[in-house]
Amino acid sequence: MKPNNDTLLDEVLHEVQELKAPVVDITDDVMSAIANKQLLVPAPRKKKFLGYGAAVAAACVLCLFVIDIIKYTTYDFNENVVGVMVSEVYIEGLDDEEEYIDCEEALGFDVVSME
Amino acid sequence: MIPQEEEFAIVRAVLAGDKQQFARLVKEYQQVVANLTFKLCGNKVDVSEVSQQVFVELYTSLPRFRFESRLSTFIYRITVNVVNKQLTYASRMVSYEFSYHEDETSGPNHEEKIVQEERRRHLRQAIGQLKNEQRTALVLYTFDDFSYQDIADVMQVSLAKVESLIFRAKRNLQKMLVKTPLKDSAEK
Repeated sequence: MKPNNDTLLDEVLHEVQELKAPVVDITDDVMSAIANKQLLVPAPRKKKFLGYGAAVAAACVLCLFVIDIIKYTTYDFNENVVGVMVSEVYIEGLDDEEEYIDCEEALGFDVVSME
Repeated sequence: MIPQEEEFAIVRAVLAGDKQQFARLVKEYQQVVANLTFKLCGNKVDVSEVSQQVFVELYTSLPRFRFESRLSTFIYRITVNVVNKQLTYASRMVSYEFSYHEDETSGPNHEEKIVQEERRRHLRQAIGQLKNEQRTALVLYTFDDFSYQDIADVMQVSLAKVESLIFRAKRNLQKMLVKTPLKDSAEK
């Protein structure tokens, strides 16, 4: 259903309807263009092997993706993670140099202040 | 107007190799295609030339016609595609030729007519300034027997996109027309 309750818009739509091209008669031109170019109506397209190939490839990628998701969601970090390397620690609210040094000494990492 | 079954029979005959049957389709639809082309392009292109391209394109595309929808919808779709190829981004603003009729410029209603002509000029200018997609949706929207779904089929976009295009076209037209002295001149 087309809503149509705007007067201004009605006027615009009416104007669009009023737009008309001059009368044309192109039948002969079209038919001779078709004849001159010897356009043949191509046979209906057959489904291409490429299309099937692309679909199979997409399905494979999807399967691998799903397998990856399953792997990650069932991963036991407690059992499999053997170590973590940390090079910097970000800490809020450090005011002076001494606090930095204290923190770095206590933690054993480089400390970076966060504003 | 050719009945749908007869149209389908003509298409089948063309597909079977009877080229001459295609002339009937051209005769039937040439003015419709020319009008749609003019509505979409204005004076930017040679309407007759583009219409010819449409029918050559139609001829080579006929094997893709599935006999499920109206042939007219298929022809409109090809027209919209051919027209879009013609209109580059740089020339997306179109204009519609407008001239005063000399024989009507006399008499007591002369001034009123000029105001009306001016008003129509503003309207056409605004339509010509719309983006291609919005103008296409709006033009198809004015076809009495066209639903939103038909417009979506012709433009090969979703139903939601059609609604959005028409909404934006209306909003933009309103913005453009509010800026012009359209209302005032009409009231005078």
